[in-house]
Amino acid sequence: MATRTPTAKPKLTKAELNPEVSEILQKGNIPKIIYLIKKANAPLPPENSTLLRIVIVTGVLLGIYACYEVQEISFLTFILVSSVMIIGNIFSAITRNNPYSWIKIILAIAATSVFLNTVVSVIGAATQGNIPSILSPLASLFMWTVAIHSFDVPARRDLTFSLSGSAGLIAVASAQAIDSSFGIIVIGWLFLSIISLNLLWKSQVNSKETAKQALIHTLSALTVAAVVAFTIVLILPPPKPLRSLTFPSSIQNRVPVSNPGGLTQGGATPSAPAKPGQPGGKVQVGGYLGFAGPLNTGLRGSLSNKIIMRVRATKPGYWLGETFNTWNGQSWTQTPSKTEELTGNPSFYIPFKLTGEPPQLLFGLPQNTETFYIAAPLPNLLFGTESPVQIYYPDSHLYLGGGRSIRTRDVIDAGTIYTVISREVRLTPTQLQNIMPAGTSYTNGLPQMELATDLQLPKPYYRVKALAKNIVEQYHARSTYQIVSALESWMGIHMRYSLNIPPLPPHADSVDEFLFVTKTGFCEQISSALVVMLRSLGIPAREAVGYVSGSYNPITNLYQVKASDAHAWVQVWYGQNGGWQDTDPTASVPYSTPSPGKIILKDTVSFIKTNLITILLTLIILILLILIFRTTSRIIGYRKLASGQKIIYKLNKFGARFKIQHAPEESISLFIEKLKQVNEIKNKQNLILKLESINRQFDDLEYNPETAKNHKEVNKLKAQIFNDLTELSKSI
Amino acid sequence: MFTQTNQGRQNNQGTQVIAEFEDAFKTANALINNLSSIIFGADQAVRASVLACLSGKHILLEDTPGVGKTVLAKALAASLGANVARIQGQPDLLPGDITGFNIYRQELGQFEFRPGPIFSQIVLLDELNRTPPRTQAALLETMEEKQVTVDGTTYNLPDPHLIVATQNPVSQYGTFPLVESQVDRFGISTSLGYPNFDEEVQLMISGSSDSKVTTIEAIANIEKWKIIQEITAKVSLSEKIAGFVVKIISGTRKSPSIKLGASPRAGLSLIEIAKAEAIIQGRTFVTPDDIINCIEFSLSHRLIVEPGSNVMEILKSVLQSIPVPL
Repeated sequence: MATRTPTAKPKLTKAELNPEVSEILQKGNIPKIIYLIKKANAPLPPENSTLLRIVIVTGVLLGIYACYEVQEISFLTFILVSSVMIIGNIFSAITRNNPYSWIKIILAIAATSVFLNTVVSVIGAATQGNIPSILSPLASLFMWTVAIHSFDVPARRDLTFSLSGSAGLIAVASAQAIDSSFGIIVIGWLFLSIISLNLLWKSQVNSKETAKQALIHTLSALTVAAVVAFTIVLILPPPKPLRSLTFPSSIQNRVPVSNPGGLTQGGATPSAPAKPGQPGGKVQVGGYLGFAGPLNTGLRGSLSNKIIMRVRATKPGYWLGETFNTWNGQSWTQTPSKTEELTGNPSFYIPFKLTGEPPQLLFGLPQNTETFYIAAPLPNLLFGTESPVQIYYPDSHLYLGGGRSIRTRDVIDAGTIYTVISREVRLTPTQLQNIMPAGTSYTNGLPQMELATDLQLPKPYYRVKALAKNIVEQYHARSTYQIVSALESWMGIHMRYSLNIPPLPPHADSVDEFLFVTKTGFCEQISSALVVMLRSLGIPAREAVGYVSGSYNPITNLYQVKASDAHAWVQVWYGQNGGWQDTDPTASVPYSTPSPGKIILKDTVSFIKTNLITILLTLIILILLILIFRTTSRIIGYRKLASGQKIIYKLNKFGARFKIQHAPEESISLFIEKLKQVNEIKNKQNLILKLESINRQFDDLEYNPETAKNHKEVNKLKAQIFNDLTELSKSI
Repeated sequence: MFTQTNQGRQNNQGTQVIAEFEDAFKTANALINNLSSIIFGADQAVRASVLACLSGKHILLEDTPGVGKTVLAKALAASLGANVARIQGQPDLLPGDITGFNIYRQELGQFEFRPGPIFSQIVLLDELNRTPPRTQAALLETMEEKQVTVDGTTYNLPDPHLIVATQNPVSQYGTFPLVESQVDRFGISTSLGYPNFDEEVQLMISGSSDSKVTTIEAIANIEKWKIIQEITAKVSLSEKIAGFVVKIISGTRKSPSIKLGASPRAGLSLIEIAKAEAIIQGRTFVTPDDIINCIEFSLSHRLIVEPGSNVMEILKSVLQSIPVPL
């Protein structure tokens, strides 16, 4: 009896697949270390899948775009890097079979110079804790490395490097993401990387079925990961306040202001704002006209949505720029206007007198730390919540101006960073209620010298005073807090908010016009009206301008302040125990510390709401594209089929109605026999005859070598079969 | 049936060819009907023996005694108008008992060759595996070369020549297992098996079939049988089918549960049997169905499988993995 010894099939290694590699890997007498180096550097088989290449390059381009989107790189750099990337990949795709060795040397030199450039810029820009200034060079380094590397990606392993490079780009970009809508880019990138990973896997196993299973596994794993991650973000408490001894502060370029101690318009040249009495007009980028000596409430204009600064803060709040105390019916000014010099470097201690708060009030209050990362030219004002006690700013001098303004010697431009530590003087409504009970003097504890300025009115305002008294009566308001609330509620009922209000007529009084004529206005009119009404009742009040806290970015833990977040509100005197307290008549909604998960949810919902049509259109286009792709590939695939396969395809289509499909190992007669057993066909003699004739003709066409020799015969048979097939599908 | 399949090829020569094929088709099917009328419940064996007649392959029946093997051989001989001989295998059967021997004729003063039973057209070799290996070896030449050599003189066997051998299940006592080369000489193997209840009842009613064999009508003669064999060989085979057969036999070599796979000779034999199947089906060419239908007859006895596994199951799984050529 013959025995056959079973021989174990040796597993083919990569090297055996590629003769060139195996040649190198012939481990002779060479030392192990050289062998290992050679093994690592052995050329791998070239990657021939164009689809995989395109998908990965698209992923990298998306990463570069993400960096551009978050303003890490300029548009020019974006175009430049993308072009280099595309050209490089085309180059490596063409030369994949015999890559040039000299290109590696050029690429090594280029990569080294990019790295050195990064080191230089990081050393130049990085100061204590200045994360954004490190991120930008890092993004450039990543981008240029991937772009340079794209000239040398012949093999699959190299392509996977490109893919991981794109992951780095996305990570760098998302660290600087503006808001949650950046998630769309991340989702797009995830989609592309899933496709490429699946393609990589698919070609390795060479089996469609298992690749499909792998895709399902990958997707379900990703879904689980996403759900878990999202749940963690939702339940995670908000980040803890910073605990650090020194705080970030830096200046990119020192450009001294022309008038030390004075105020600039912060690079934002107002381009023709509408003057009183004139319609139209616009204000450019960050230039809110309130951050200057006077605040003219007669000016009109709109503000852009450009991000002008990002704030890392213990707590959100109104970032106060300055306050005004003197009103002339149209504009606010500060009296006295003299400035005072302050020294220190980089830490400045702010004297109590700055805010005019009673000093005893400030002891033992919680401290808030706010770091401002400036992203656009701003006036030389330092912002911060009430009441600043310490400032970190990299200069030896600061100026204290009137109305709590802290001014710098240099122009404040993108890249400037400073930190403000403030005491939180805000009190709760209950505290405010009790601090100034009914019957106490409204001016209780106010320094004598401020009495005149903080109750100042340019004219008697009879109409306004009568209205205010009327409102107080109507609401039975007695204490300061009750009066403020009463006036705010009344305005909330009778006034309307709008940014598009008609220009102020010349010589008209802004408050009078707002309260009795237009009854519509934005924060400037609303807050001015409240100040005037309060002052007419004898309550000290002043106008405050600055920015609202802005939108919170849960990814970066930063508040993003846009130019349009500029705001005006009111400070009211609450006696020696309360000091100056903020109140916002425009929107007296109290701020709460946000939870990251809720914000993401809210942002996503609002994004979907605002972009519903775009999303729907994109979806429809995608579905259409998939349908077109599937149809064309089916048509092309069908054309490529041999005649026998075409007939089977048609029969399968026919059989699909009865859920009968041809198995590859099944002969046509067996298949047709199965079809004949179907209930709908069983009793129809003509159908059975048709099927039998198709079977005979098919056999003759496919397996009869005599027929195959005769072209006419073959064509005739084919025509007959397809004719029969059409008749067959029509008959049921 | 032929006219339908081959419409379009109506030249003179073609018509004649078709007439030949049609004749063979009719004869083969008449033969099947003839045999089925007296042997109940053994359609597979009947079909196998007709395939053997058409392709000229020897047939091996593996069965217990008393299921109708002898009747089958006799009925086949009667239908074809051929003479039949029966050899009973047993341990002291000598080669000479099969091939014949030289005998000294005193009156002529010379040796004269006395042909053995093997010189019949149809030879029933009963219980082949009870004969000792020495006698089995003598059969090798007769089966492959269709000739017999006795004392240096070669005698041709009649043409056509068909051996119908039976073998007892190997597990029974007193058997000499057939060697592979011997088994390989049989183109077809099958078993009659027991008839089912109805067929057995039918058999009981109609009585012993031995008497019926004598009444069987001859539907052909030796010459016609020979012509039919020639026509069968003319059945055309496309490259696709040849490739299909190669895939199948190499598939049996790769299967882990088969110790010894099919040889190229097995493949050739399979094709020849499939051609006979095509004749029975009324075709002038072989289709994948013919191959699939003949695999059991042609390959099951040649493969040596791992103990405990079923040849038919393995063949089925091999077929499952090979797509039909399109």
